[in-house]
Amino acid sequence: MEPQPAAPDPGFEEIYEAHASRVLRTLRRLGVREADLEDVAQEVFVVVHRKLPEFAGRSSLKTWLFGICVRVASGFRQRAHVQRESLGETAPERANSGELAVRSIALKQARVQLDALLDRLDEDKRTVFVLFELEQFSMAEVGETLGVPQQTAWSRLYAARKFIEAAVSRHAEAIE
Amino acid sequence: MSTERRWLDEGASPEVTRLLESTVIDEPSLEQLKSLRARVAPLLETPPGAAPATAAAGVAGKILTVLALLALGAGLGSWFSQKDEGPAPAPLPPAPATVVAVAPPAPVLVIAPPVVTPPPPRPRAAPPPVVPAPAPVNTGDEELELLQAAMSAGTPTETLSLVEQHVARFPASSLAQEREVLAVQALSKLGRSADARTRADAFKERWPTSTHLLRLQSLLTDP
Repeated sequence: MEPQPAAPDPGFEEIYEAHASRVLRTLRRLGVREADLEDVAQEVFVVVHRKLPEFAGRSSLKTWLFGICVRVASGFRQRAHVQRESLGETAPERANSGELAVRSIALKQARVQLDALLDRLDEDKRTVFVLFELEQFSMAEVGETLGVPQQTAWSRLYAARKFIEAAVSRHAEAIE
Repeated sequence: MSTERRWLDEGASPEVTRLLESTVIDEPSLEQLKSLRARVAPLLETPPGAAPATAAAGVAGKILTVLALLALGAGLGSWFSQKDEGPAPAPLPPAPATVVAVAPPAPVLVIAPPVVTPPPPRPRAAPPPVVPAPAPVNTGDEELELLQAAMSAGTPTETLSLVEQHVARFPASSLAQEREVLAVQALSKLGRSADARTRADAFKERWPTSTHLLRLQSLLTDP
């Protein structure tokens, strides 16, 4: 076997080590089912590995990487069987039997409710909402990640908030 | 950024707040991290842009596997996220040809192609590449094995004892963060909340940007 050349900077390993956890988390929030997370995350890193030589710092690593996440997650969501099943999926059941599994039922219920609401958002709004509200991206980063003007991203964010607020209000009224 | 206020900062309704705050449980499980690590291992040994190797073979593969198993059992999450304190936990030298040549053929990791077609339904996670490993190759293995022993100890007391042995033997360990998380977890389970919090505070001071902080927080509130 030929000796392998040193990885360029940023190295793939470095990217993986720094972002693997967040990639999994973000994919989940973008609507990838729990059972498919590793598959989809693997796809993300295969793409990252393949495209890394082309990266060349034209954007920030963060927006480049999570732009890949968004596109891979989008491809996943567009698969018909996923779209059918996503609304029906209930609990974000974690296979982990460790300490993270020890959570209150109320917390899990709330998470399921949020998932259900996010599933009802269209993809553009959901992505902006997830990146800005949950992943704490700046709006400039959101725009760069998605390749859209910031104003567009803001509009999507406000629409997403409005939708969620309305849905939550309706739900509250229904149970009163 | 000051004008970019998040919804929670702008006064979201209590119900919306409840929903948004529920995302604290979104951190990936240890099993997921382990599975992903195993799947990506061949990529880690291949120059970016090149076709990945098909197996995490040889010494590097063994080390990766041990690391993955340790990460799973220890409840440590993505310990690979911090690189500001000493060397990376999983040294990944290119596998020398002689090692690869004698690597066992069984645990083949196939990297799926990028998204083109949906994968067929299948069970949740591919099995990790359990490389039948012979003897430890270096002191790094001893370091890992001791931490793994602490992780799999039967009682928190035993865990804590092994963690302290690890501290004594490997004071500058690249796995120090993971070791401290184990310690906090053990202290919490022993009901030594104050000690756990003190250790967690020290952790936060030493590694203020660690991704383990959220996990530590959860340990302190929900041991």
